[in-house]
Amino acid sequence: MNTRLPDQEEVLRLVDLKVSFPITRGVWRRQVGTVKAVDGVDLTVKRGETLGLVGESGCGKTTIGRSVIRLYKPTSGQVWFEGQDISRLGERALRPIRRRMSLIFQDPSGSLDPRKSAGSIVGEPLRIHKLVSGRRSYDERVEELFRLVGLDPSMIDRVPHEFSGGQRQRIGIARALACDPSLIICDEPVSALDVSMQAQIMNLLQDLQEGLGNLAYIFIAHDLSVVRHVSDRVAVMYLGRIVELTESRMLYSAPRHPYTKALLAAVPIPDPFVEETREHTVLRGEIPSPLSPPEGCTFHPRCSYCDPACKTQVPQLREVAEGHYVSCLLA
Amino acid sequence: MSHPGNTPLLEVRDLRVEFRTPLGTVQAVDGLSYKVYENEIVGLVGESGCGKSASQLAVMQLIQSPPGFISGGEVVFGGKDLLRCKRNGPEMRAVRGGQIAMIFQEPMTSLNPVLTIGDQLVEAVRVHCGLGGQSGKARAIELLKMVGIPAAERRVDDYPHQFSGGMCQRVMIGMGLSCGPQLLIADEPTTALDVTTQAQMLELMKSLVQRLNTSLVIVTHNLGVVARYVQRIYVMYAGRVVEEGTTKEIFGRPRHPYTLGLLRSVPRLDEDEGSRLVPIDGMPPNLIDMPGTCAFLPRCPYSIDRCRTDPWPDLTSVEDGHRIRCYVDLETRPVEHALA
Repeated sequence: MNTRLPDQEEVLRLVDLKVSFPITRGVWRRQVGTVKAVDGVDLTVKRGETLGLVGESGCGKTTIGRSVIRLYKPTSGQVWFEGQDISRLGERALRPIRRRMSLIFQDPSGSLDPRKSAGSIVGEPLRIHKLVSGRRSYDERVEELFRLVGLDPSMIDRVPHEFSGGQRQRIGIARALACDPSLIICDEPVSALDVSMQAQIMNLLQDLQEGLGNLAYIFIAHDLSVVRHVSDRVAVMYLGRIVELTESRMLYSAPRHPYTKALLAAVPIPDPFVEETREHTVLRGEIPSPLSPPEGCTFHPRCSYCDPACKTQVPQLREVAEGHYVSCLLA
Repeated sequence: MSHPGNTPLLEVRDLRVEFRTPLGTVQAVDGLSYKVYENEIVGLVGESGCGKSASQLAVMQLIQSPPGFISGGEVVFGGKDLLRCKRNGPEMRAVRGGQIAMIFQEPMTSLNPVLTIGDQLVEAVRVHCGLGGQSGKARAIELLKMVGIPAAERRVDDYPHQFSGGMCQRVMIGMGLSCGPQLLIADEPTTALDVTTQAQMLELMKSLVQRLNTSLVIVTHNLGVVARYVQRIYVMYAGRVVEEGTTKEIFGRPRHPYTLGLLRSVPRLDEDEGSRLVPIDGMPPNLIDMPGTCAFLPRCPYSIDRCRTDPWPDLTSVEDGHRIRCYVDLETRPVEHALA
């Protein structure tokens, strides 16, 4: 296991992270099994970088995000954040660390308190962490945050339902930026939005990263084209493991893992002329239950390249080209 | 693409749907016209609130009333105006689920959780094809096999919660096609599903409608789905069609500012590195008290003086089968020039 102190260029390092949830049955909540939501993930995020996490529902991408911010406690493994292992810290010790990272949720209406004003929502982290002193500087900071995300500061006293979906997501982003974090976990930030709003929010996230400097994102989404557009590097997940990790420009041009190839082929490109020339191979079957994942390579029952060895050997993530990691016996 | 000499299977003319709310009347569909020919796959594209779903519910007379009302227009299907048929009369009941079938966005919520999959399929074939008892059950199993559900004989007695989302949608497709409808309407059929399941569903629907000679209307906001599966497109905004044409015309030479805006705001898997999205500024309009002018005007980067004074124009033909509802034709006014 890698226990060396991570270097200053990294904002986050996950070492063999495992998160599992118990399955209970009956009145006495007897444990009858475990779901390995995240099953041994190693990952780094550099300062100022956007790392995309992509995969189908149930692949563990959201669980990783929530374990990083310690909403879930890792079952084993380490979470190094800014040079400190936070995987075993208690609530009190976590407080100053949670200031340095924040979360943007998928559903902009569900994640905002409907009875609070927009200004109060955005300012809450400032109050909790006591980052400003005095009413005046508090108001100034909230107004600054509003302007930063493209909201009119005159709307500070309105409540969430008076905003549109896109504007609500901007409020969520402003709240995430309030404490000047070095890492923001964006969990499906645009999937609930309309096409024209999606582009506005994606551009905003990119502009903020350029403008603020040293802000890293973990961008979690199921939409490959969205992830590829915003990310510097992309990790593709399947059943709790990373199957491929590479620079986003390599992902489309030179995918190595059969699952990545299948995912890419499944995403239609909004251009009928390109679509005419593409092969429409469809991945067969469905994701197996994480309760009883297949032996060997978990993808083998759906893989069209499957070899006898794939049914017994578990592939490890290994570097096949510079910065390009694949976990496949045949790659 | 024109269809000379062909009468359309479905022709919707000037359809109007409104919802009367305490805040005012929402004109959800405001004079929508479109045609679907035999063996054709047509796409209705637009963002939430553009009236694409409301219009399809109106075709089936499934609009909840009140607050919804179909306030005008014709839906001509098989030489008959469906809007003149009584909502729950025998004619409409024969059409709904029989000649025109519909698949909804949330497969899980479209199935009754307390009845088995088999019971629900049997009900559909009993009502519309008169197959009861053992032959109904046999047909249900046959349908499950048709949509690719393994061990159909056993699974027919399962309940919806024992099926995954993708399998529920397969059941819905099977139920929709159970009585050999002439038209299948799929309202956002894949939005709630994963990409690989989405591809499976669309490929399945495409192959089945081709085999059964059924026309298909796909209602979606996903431009990729449209580009891959659809032959003709209607782009909708604020309850009206703003551009219509063949898929290649619309994507290759978009001529309405909204269509161009949509195309430039979606990321593409094959895009060049470092390319930036061009979002459409502003927000979709409030459909209460619409001005008489173009509803896209406040967000339009290409507007001219006339757009501000004259009413929203009618659809005008710019090419054979390609029509736009705009005073500015982007083809005669090059994009680069307009951006400068």
